[in-house]
Amino acid sequence: MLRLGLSAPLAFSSVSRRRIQCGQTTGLDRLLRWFFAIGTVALLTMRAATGFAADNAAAVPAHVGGTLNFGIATDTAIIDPSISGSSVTAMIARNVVDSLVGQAEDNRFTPWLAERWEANEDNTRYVFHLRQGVSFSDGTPLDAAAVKYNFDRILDPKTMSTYARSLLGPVESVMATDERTVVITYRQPFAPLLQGLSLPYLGIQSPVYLQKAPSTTNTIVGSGPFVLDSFTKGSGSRLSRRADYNWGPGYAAHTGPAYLDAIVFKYLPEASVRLGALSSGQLQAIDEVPPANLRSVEANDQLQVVTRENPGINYSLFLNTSKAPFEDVRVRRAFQSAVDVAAAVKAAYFGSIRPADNILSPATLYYDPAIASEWGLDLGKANRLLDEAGWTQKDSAGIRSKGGQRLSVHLIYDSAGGSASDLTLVQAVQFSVKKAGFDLELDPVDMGGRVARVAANDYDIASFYFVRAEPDILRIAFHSAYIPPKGANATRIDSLDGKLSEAVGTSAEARQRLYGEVQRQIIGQAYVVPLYVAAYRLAATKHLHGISWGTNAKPNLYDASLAP
Amino acid sequence: MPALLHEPASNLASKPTRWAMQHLGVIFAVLWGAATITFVAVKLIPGDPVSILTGGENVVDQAERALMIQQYGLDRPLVVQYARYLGHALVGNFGESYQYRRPAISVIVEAAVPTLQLAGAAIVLALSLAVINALATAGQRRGLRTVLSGLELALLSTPVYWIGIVLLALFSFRLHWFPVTGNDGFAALVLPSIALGLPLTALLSQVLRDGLEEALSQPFALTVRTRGVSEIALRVRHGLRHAALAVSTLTGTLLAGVLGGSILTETVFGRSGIGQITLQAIKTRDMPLVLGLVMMSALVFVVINLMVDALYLVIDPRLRRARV
Repeated sequence: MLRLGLSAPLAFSSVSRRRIQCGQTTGLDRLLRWFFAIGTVALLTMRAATGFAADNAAAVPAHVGGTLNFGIATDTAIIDPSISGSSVTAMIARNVVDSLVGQAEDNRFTPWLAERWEANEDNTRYVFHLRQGVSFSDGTPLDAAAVKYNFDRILDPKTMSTYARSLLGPVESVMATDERTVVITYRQPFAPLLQGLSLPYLGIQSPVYLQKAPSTTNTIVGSGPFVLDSFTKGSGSRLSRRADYNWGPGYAAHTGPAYLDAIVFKYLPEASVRLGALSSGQLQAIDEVPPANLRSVEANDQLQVVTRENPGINYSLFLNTSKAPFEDVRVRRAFQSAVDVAAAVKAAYFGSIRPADNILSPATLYYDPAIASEWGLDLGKANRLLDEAGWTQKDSAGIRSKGGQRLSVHLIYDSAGGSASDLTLVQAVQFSVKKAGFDLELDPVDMGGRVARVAANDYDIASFYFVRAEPDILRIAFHSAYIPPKGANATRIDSLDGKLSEAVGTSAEARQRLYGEVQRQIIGQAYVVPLYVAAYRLAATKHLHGISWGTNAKPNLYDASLAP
Repeated sequence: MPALLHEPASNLASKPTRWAMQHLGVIFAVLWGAATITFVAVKLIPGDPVSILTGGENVVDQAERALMIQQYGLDRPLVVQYARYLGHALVGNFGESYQYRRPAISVIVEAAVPTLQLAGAAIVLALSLAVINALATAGQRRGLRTVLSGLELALLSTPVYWIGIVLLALFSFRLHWFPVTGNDGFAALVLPSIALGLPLTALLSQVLRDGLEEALSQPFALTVRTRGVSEIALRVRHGLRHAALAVSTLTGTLLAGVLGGSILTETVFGRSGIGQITLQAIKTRDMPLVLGLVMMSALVFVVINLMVDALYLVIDPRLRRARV
């Protein structure tokens, strides 16, 4: 009886979604939605009254209830996602705030708070039509004015939103034209908006709460499936389920409230403690499983390991083209050809993650798989190029020099913040490039030291990765507007400015072509040596089901359930 | 409190007043020195806070960056920044923490609560264990004493970090007696305070036992024994008082050290506290927070030392007589 009652509204829901995506709203559609809403409310009442577990559309029946204790390796200073760029903030806040649009694992956009939307030809005007009947956990209704309030707050420089503001782009205005319609207009064409909107950083919070709260650093009030009960720096966060939630993202496997009663994120920086707590059953999931422990976790028949590759810019070495020796493209190409990427990644990560074959990771929109064949280990080529470039003398250690100048390059790395595996990795690179006659020096610095050296142009190689499913992330790392200290363009090039700027706002076809050319040029000009595809690694009890992934490679827990 | 100081000065009241004024001066000097050294140190290490805060996953434009620099007052000359920090610090306002975006003082107070619980529990545990241990083993040449002092040496030379992991592996992961983490109540405090307290126990035991043994070898011990006082009463009532002087000095120093040194314990057990935010504050060059933390620790250190000084008078009547 109960199952029948549930499956009917689910079917209606998928019908209505498909229609919404086509952008039509018919009378029948509205009727169906109402029917669906009433059906779910009825079902909720029944579920609350009887305590029966509901089944979802997925193969594994979901159990309602239980607390997920989740051990996380990294802490965050601020829990408000609109004023923090932290990925941990994003992972926790994802459960508390909803977004205007959702982005599925295959990068397609789905309705969420906006049931449909339109954009004009040149991506300068977006219209969002909001879902009805959504409320924040403080009771405030979620309407167009609430959305406008959130975006205006993020755009206000005084808010110091650091990351969320960059996702909104060059906004001219945000207007609430009626109770359920939001119009965003742009000064310049801006195509990456939908992807930015789908991220928790642009999640919608209660305007009543935002106006009242003297500080939002420790609290969030959103419309999401969970409510943030507490956040304690250096300790963790507690979230509890919202029973009346009924407006999940279009990509979710079920509708209605979340299955878990509560989620507790526990900050445990020490890997052995996280592992011990997981295998002793005190935690049901942990992140950042050390590569060296991966085998033992996989061998445990109580546990499962799930790895999700990041979209965005792969962990890469960025060669400083503004000074010798890497101002010479031949030296850069020689360096790129001298790195045995596969061997280095294997030595550092024991085969737990994949070597990179391009500047973008495969999960990124417009990733071009053809680039992989255009570069790689070729010691003969490296030696030939260095000879051509005049680095012909060799000392007893095999290090080349030219006019008395040794072929020495400095790589700065964060010795405190980076992982031990990353150090092993660059040591393997050091060993590898020495065969071609490079003397790679590793300079350990802390976060502040790194920032200072990069800003002062006192480095030859910097290394990092960026997570983003939208290829516009390349602009942050390769446009001359972001040459340090203004940003993260550690290669200090300006040769891609035209293409990167054009690709921000143009049509999908043109963007695909432009980003293809940009990827080819970044590899071909040897601005970088991509090393590995960074990944999020989750270890969990086998009782945990229904984890899905955000396009920031963080787990989504709305569909998650714990079998008893 | 000033009302108390201005009460009609009897001979007994004026001395404490002068004593307090003197020490207040010392406190101010220490705090000023600490603040100045901190300011210079943070400004000397490379890396500016705005670049750190806006680096990594954050993306900001020039206007936003300029606004941040202005809001933090980093566009002003160093002398002005120094004067402003000192002026505000005088009234307990260290400014807004760059990374937490809340007043540094409230961040510190919030973090101090769990750290004080941990440090307090560890010290109480260490003192009680050390007293029992020393009373039971002082003056005995073999058996229990040999085993225990060997254990003390081992504990003293073991990193807190490692003790914590061993305790967790045994009592949490294997036996499931205590939860691994968090700040949730008493059960979560047991293992961290043992981990932090064990090396202290070892150190205090050694000092206390030495003191006891010295006291017991004094002629007065023989006198007391001849009066027919039991061995236990002798040790507790007379010996302990003698040994307590050195231990109270040491405990004062240790408590201040424990407050700062709790970072390792906090890291292993995932507890929030002063240690965690101190590390973060230094990493991000969060000047208001670093300054606030240093001033707080300096204050705690001074206050504890004053309390220990006062405690001397309680423990040793001879010092009281010398003062009057």
